[in-house]
Amino acid sequence: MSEPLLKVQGLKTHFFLERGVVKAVDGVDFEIKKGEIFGLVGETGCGKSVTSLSILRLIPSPPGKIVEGEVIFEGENLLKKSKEEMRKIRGTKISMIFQDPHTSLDPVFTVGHQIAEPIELHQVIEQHLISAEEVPRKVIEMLKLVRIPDPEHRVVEYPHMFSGGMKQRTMIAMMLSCNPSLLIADEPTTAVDVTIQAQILDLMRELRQKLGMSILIITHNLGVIAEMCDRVAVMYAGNIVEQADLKTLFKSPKHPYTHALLEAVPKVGTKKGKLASIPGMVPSLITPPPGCKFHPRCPHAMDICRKKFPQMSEIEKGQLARCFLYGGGAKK
Amino acid sequence: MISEVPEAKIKEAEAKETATPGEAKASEEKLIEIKGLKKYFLTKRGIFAREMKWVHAVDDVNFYIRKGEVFGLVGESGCGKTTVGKLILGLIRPTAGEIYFDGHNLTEYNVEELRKLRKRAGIIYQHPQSSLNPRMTVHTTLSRPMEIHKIAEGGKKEEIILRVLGEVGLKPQHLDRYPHEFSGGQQQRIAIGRVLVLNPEFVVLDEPTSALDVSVQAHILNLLNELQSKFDLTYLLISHDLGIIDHMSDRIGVMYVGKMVELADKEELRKNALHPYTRLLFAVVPIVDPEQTRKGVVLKGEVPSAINPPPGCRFHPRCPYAKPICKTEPKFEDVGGGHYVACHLWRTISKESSR
Repeated sequence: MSEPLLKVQGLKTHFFLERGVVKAVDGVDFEIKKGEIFGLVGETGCGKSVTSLSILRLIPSPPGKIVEGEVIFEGENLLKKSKEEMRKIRGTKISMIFQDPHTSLDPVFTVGHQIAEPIELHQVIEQHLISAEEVPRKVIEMLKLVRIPDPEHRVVEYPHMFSGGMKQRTMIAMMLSCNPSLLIADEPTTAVDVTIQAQILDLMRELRQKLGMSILIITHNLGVIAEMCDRVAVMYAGNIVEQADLKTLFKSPKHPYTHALLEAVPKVGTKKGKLASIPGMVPSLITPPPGCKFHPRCPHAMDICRKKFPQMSEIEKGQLARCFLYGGGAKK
Repeated sequence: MISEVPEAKIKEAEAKETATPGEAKASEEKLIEIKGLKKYFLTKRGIFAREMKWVHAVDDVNFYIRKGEVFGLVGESGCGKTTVGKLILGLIRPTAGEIYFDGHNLTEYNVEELRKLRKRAGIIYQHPQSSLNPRMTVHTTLSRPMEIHKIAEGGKKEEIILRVLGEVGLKPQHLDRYPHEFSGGQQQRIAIGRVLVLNPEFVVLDEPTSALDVSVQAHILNLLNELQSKFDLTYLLISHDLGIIDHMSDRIGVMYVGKMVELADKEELRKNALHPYTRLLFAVVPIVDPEQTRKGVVLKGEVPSAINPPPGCRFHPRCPYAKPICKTEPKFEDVGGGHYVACHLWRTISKESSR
């Protein structure tokens, strides 16, 4: 297997607040291969968005700080880059789509203007790839790529004239305009309806085929994960608790949290009755429980779970879990 | 096709055996009946707009809800499902049409009569953070409805509060706390408690778990199910999430841009959806199982605006089967067995797909 495109190692991002240190991301490791769609799934506050913002060094500081770890992208550690170098990487090599397309577009500029901006900055001024005269043509080309109807006319319209789905596609056009090798999509379809969601997901999959980029999808929606990803990592309270290829994770989840999460989703076609639910609540990230952070809610909790923090261990090829049920104490 | 029938029947029989009490209780008696319901909102667009336009939020909707059942209303944003919920509770007045609650026509009620109705019918909103008064403790939140409706006082009131608190899974020490001290799931429990103290017959659940995480959502849905069978409640469940609707409901109504396009029993709708929009809706839901792929054809286009809805069937501009006839209004017709559909072409479509 070739060198991974992105390798996150021991990433810890903490927020230093008056009431204490919030350990939002507390030791996260994963890799994304070239051309792969990797999913990061978890509930509110598990640290999935902070992980993605840390990769792009977009953590507001203060109060946030990346205290430890490495983010190796194309062989270089992004955490060691200067601000200027990072600015050049964002948009050209790694770009990001956010959850809410309504707030990610600037209402006072036309859609075309906003797509043109990164192209002018990166491809015309910095890299001299294309000339300034070619920019409008490129903008329309991008709008065509994401299937905005009648792009020649829509390009001069303002974001409020676009529907939610079209705005999100505009965002995708903007992000892809400089041919990034990694696209980070943070809840890309949470703000749109299901029929539009299906359009956006199909578009993203198709663009991956066409452009050969890798995608990191961050979502709480297990349906989106099941449909899109090649490999998946499940996060809980700042750590990855399980990681596997898609089919293995859904077919034989190992970590009790993954198991519970999959059971708790109401699915079409199931009988009415009790949904499996996870007792208790997500722990505080300031004072997480000792040992395994999931043990107070875990039906299989043992003595050791209350005392020691489990390590990731490989159960089967490519499937890792952080749980003592599967020898999580390999490194004692 | 033929070989599938016995299997389906076996499954049906199984479902009956393991049916929860709430499911079995649904009777033929209609608690709510809606006839020709319309609600148009007047809108001005833009700062300088002189032109007033009508938003056809709900446009000629007919259905009924049986006593003791969970009626699911599903559709995308802007289809008018929440407006229907508010109209049934008399929170907004309809433009036209009739709403019968237990045989009485709500649309003829005056303000005082509507207030009395709210003792029997409650609503739970999507965002507990904004539907609970931040300055009221849990105790005040739960006791105020009883004071307004003069249900109980003094010791009896406290007794009800404690009992309801237990039912929704909160503890007596929570009584003096304010909403911000609770998590989203607990806040939703308080909102449920506020409805329960009045011992209602009917509750509108307007996206009750959309603001919650999956694991908390499961808690709340289980709680709502339990309470339904315990207190003989009738629910109108409004949601955009077909998974939740399918899990909770006995019968399901599908709405699209102000119209109800299909209505049927849950099982029937799942196996034998007739309207192309219902089929699309079932087809595009991401399946939480990587072994199965979404079979759906993804449709082009977007949900039309309710200001200038397309003439005739509102789905025809996106519909893969559309014919010229679809530009005329389809009837909401009974195809048998309580299955209703508003589509000119359902006969040909169902033949084509069963081939």
